[in-house]
Amino acid sequence: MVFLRSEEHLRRWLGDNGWEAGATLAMPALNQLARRWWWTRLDPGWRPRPVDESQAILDELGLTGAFWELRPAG
Amino acid sequence: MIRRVEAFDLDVRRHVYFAVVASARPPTVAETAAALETGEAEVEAAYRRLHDAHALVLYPGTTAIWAANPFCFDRTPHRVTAAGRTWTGTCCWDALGIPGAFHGDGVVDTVCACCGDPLRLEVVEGELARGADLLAHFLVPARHWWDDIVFT
Repeated sequence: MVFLRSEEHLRRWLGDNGWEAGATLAMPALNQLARRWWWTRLDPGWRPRPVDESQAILDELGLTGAFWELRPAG
Repeated sequence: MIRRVEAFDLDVRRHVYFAVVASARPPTVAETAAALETGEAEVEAAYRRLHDAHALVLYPGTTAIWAANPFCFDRTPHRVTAAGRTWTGTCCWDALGIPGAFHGDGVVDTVCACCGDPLRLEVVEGELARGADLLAHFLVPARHWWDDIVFT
């Protein structure tokens, strides 16, 4: 999960490494995701978040489809 | 496979994060055992269960903490200034997660993965005041993030 300056740099980075593209997020979307995901991490009463709750965070931010599916296939 | 954690493990985890916030480094097994007035073997076992539950990340084959996400304790390109300290983010997601975890503002100094050029992002009142034009890329699909979390 990396920062990139632009689409051109993304294409070059993928090509140089021989990697297929995964998912690209605009930075405001990543910021929203990061705040939602880590917001409770320092809470004294933190407990492991069930996978369905984590999936709901992704869904609410429009991160849907096979790439964003946390639950095992099948 | 995510394992269940026990009530003792949550006490251990709470101490780990308390120590990280206080000192910007993770506590050793001995330090956690002393703080919780328990045995090192019990704490070692808890660290391993927390690792298996994806609540901590240990260096392979050890009980030394590599990351207590979003905080990383090894070198990465992501330096985060938040809550009066400089932290290291595990990845781009975690770097922006550090100001989020503190419910505050923050500055991320990082690099473009392609060219290594320095990049700066600033979070003010939850929004990106700088760096909003940058991109983040996730190579690994979500269900495989923990297959190799260091690569992810």
